[in-house]
Amino acid sequence: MKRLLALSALLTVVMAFALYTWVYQLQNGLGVTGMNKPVFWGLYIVTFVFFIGVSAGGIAVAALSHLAGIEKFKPISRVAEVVAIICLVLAMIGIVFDLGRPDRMLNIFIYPQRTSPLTWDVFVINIYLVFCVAMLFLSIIGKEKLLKIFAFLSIPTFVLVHSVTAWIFGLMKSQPGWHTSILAPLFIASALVSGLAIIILALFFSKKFLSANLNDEIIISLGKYFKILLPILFYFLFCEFITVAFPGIPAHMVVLKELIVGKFSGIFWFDIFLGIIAPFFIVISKFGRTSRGIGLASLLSFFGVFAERVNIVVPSFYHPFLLSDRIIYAYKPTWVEYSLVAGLFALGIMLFIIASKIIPLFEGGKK
Amino acid sequence: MKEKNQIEETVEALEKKQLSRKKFLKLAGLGTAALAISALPKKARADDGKKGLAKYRFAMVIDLRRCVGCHSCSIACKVENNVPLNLERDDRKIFWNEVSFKEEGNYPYVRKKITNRPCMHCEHPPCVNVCPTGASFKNDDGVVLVDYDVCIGCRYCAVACPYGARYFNWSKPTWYSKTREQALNPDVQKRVKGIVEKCVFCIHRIEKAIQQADRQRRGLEDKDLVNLPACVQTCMGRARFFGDLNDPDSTVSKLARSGRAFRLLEELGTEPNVIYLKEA
Repeated sequence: MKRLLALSALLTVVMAFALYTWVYQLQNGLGVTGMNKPVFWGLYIVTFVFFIGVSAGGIAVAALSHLAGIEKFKPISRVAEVVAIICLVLAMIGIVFDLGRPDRMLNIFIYPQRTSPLTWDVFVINIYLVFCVAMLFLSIIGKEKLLKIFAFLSIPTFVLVHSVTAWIFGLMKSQPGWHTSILAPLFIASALVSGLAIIILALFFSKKFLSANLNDEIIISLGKYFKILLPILFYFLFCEFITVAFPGIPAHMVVLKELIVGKFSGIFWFDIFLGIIAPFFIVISKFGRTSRGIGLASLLSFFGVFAERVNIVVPSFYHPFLLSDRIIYAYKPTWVEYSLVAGLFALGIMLFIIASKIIPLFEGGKK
Repeated sequence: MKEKNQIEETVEALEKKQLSRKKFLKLAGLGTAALAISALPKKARADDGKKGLAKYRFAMVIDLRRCVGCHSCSIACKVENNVPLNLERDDRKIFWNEVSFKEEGNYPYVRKKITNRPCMHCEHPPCVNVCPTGASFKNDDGVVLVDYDVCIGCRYCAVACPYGARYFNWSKPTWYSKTREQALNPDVQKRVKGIVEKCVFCIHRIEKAIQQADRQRRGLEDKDLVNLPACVQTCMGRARFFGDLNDPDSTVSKLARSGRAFRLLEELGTEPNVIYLKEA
């Protein structure tokens, strides 16, 4: 309890500072961030895309426990739903940070332009959120049959949410490196990896801070799914890179070079080695049969997916098709961006703590 | 024989009717499909008839052989359109028109290539399709505009533009002195921080020209247009021309038919309405 109080105090401080930062950003405009022309999107969009992906864990566990009927996951299905809802809320707050005029954000609903992937995304995310809330609610009032129907209906919504988020980038012919059909499947794969990771991390957190009574077996059997998901993610990434590298079209090659040996190589190799390969070997090794091993694998792949999101969004901006003599300045996030993103993470943890106090989180499936 | 013929005729007529009914059903099916497809980006169906209705298709021709790279187009534009002066960071400056240089070759066989780039006012503008609020739009005369009062500042249009023609107001627009602010053009709306702006082909001048022509009970003529935007008016080498591509006898139409004519990033299918003339 003491530990929880200390953590809550720390989170409150981070959130309060983020609030101050946001007011500062509202007063001075987005110029206080590191974004520029042509790097029009930065850490905020990356965080938005990341949280959308992370929310996939909720649906995944719901599908496993309610549709595939795996009984041992029933106790954690509510945790999964709560985490998914929180992640969607965080994503939506994240996109508001990125707007130049957040006071006008309702214009998306007042004058929606149906041809814009961003409009599609806003609507699909809201539908997805409704599904997640409905599933949590049905689980609490114990309507198992209806819950099953909702879990079934949520699968196509899940595919749509991550595909549409990928299409924000994948349908753009204007940026080299984005216009590829693998992007939507890649987003689904990385969403599942990060979603699974966050559920496992949330379970660890609950054990440590919320004194939840969970056995290690749930964590270990959840971690087994990394064995399938990580190779799929790696395969999709490989498909993407070989498709760029073999034809070697210059406009696209410069982006790939930037990833492999250029400014983003640190983030790139972190993603490949520590985000995908290392957790995979942990999971298949003896260490992967302990909850600690799974925890470490989750933590690594969680940040690995974040790195992957950075590398999907940012590097393309460095190499516009139309090269002018305009010097392209490196994008360096400022303290404002770090503070707001840290605030988002803090808010997420805080919301989880609050949810655990209101909702009987660990009693799903008990009668 | 006559009777038989009559019967045959009626049968034929009936068959025809049925056929037409079948056709109708087919058409209805196609119609629903078309409705579904209409949700797809506009470019897929931009060609169906609407083009013929448009009175004007404003376009610019830039003769690279005549351009000396003096930047006066960029400056004239900046003054005419109340483009903010914000100088604090190089990578955030706003120029609706940009002149850039590229050096090619090895000494002594070197040359300097000049590109100057306003907004392309594409026939199929990628920026308009992606705008979530419709703040970016294309008017009936083919000019791509931004509704500064609706824009939410998501910068998706700036990301979607392959030409880098769109600019974002990262901070509050400033001109650093009261005198400069008093000298702003009253015909052009001032922008605020947090929204996107871009070249508008001096739409306020176009509107004035249309009004004037209306008063004289005539349509716009080539002489009204050829020097209309500020960048064209100020170009000392007369490298720029403005006009209406729907009029086959306009200066821009004639120049666009030249063997030197090309457009930037034509392979992307945006169909720019800014046409360049090669140096050689």
